Amino acid sequence: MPTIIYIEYNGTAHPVDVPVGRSVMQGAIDNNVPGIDADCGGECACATCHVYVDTDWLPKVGLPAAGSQEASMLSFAAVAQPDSRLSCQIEVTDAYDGMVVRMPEGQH
Amino acid sequence: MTIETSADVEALTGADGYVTGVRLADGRLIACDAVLVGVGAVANDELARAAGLACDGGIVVDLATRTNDPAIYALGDCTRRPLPLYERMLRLESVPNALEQAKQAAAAICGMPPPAPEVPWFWSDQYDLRLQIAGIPFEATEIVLRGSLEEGKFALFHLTADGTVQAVEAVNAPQEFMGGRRIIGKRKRLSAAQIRDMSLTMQQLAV
Repeated sequence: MPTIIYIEYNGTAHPVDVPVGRSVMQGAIDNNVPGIDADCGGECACATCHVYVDTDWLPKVGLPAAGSQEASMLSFAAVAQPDSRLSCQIEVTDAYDGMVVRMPEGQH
Repeated sequence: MTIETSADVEALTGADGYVTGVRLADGRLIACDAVLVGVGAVANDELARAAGLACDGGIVVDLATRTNDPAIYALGDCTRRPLPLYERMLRLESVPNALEQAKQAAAAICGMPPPAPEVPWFWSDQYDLRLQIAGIPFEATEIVLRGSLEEGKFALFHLTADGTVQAVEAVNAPQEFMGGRRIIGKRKRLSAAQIRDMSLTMQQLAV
């Protein structure tokens, strides 16, 4: 099972095994990783599962298409950056084993 | 799918103990195999009343979800809670409200700072329509359209008499929803002309 490494804003790392097919958001919620709220439950409707994808992993994961629902939501997320993604929109595959995502200071 | 607004249901028709149709006041009969009735809810507060808790069409709680008994917290659809943004008490029957009150309760119980004041919000996907609603238009007197009804991508801004944005109903318009939430939280005033002007981005309007 791929391991995703969630790093809180304060630097605390949470390595979590996430089943293939679950989203990066669900992996965090299933394991009580703090820092991801996911208020809407994973429908790309609230922008509270915002993460920064580690530089090494960004080319693999990619960025949301311009004008997409995710890009639109992210443009209003708290402290968005060029490496921002909504973690409910990243589906875990074997290729993401070891991926590092960092949480912003807050989701609101 | 067809959505009938302003339609009055006159009767349900049936045969052999099963529903067969819905008759409307205008005489039309819509055949069906099943009917889902949504007519609002009454708070199920009998247990709270039996425990001596203050109830008023819902269990009365404060912004920390405390009832009038300091040892008892209550949250969710069954509570009547303060909503400072709109200066009133109300029942807010929605998933985001239950999540918000859970944060309030957890913070209070753990002695942590309360969560930031919220703007109530609601959402639903209906086929290819994404509905996102921010705020509640309690005292709105004007509705301003931003975007295009024809393209199916628009938002309705509800303004009070002094131009304060109280609610935004967005259809396939996530920026209007997200920006609207921010504008409502700030109790910002906007003119109808500003809202209609698509050359102004939601980021600019929300500043």
